Amino acid sequence: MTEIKRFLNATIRTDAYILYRRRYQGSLVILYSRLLLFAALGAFAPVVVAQDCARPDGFTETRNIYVSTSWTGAADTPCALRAELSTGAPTLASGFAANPFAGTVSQVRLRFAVDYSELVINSILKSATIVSIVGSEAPAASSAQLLRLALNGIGGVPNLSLIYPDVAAAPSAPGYTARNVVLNGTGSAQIGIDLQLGSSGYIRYWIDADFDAPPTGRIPTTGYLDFSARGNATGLSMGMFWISQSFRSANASKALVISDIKVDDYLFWSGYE
Amino acid sequence: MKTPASFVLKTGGLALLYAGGAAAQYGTSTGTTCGFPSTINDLSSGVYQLLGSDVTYPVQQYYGTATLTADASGPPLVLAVCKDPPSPTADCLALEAAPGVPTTLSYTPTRPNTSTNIWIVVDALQPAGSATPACGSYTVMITGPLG
Repeated sequence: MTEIKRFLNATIRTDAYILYRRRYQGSLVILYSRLLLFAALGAFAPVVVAQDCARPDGFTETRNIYVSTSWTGAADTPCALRAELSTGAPTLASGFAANPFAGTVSQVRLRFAVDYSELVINSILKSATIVSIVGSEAPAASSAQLLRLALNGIGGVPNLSLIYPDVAAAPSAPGYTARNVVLNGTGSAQIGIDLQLGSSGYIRYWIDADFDAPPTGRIPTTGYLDFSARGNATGLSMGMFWISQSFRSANASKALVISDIKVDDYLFWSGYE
Repeated sequence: MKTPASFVLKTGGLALLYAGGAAAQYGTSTGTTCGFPSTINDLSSGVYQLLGSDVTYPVQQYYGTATLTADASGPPLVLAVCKDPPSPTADCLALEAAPGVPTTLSYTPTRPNTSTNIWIVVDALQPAGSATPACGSYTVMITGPLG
């Protein structure tokens, strides 16, 4: 669907350019042939539109091991990602869609809504990751992971955990630490992330706040995080994975839904660039 | 338990199985992750964080199955099947193999793809709180479309 839109947009732009050129050359023959082609594509396009929602740019089809994940939504509307946990799911149960970047990027901006109202998240032992962002390098004995977002029940209520490299950890340890943010009691949340990488890195996050408002929090609160050992970001995954045993046993056949997914969306970030 | 995976391979031909650059027979192989470094820490954009020692088998074939059995007296191992060369963003699925219990991943073509290989990875896990990866012996059986 996205590819068709791009092609049609490209066709429109190309035809406008040809019109400009032909106006001065006195010939519209090629333009008319393009318009006929465009009309023919238009005749077929509704058939395709009726079949699929629009997957967020850059995301793959879903991958599933004991988690049933799918892109869902009405035709010609943005897809949501629904992930339902299977009964008896093992340690590496996972359902996700990846978004490998075309190259490495020094800044990742992500926003989405998550509906976790079906899930039981009432203990620190119940945890599931919903977003992972990785870099291009993995330090020895550690991971390339830059930031992981997890739902868990710290304090008996749903939290969002932001798990990030602990730059003070010993080099031989995996070295991650977390900030936990209590979510509202409605069973859904709007989440925005601004991840700045490099030696002067930081994480800003918005929870149920407009993106033109001040961020809900910043990691670190003052100063910077040195992400340079993990390079720039190479991609991210969304879904349900890294799921604790307690979470799996309490949430069999239950689902979460991630919607309104936008990666590197500058439109809503004008207030705090 | 057999769990379907959706991986895409464009061209087939005779399947080859080899590890560490040495040719091996297509079918069943035994090996160990001990003595191998941890070369792949993250797969599928961090969905799988596998900090332990690992062995990779590039296999050229359309589709088939890979079955990993970790040695009954050793630690659990991980079987991953990737449609890209292993890297943090490689498109992979992974499943833990308990000691002595055969664990299978299958892979089938679902859409055109330019890749001609899949990469089968046997990986060890790093126990929580330990800076030392576990390692162990295993048997891996790879079958093609003709079994």
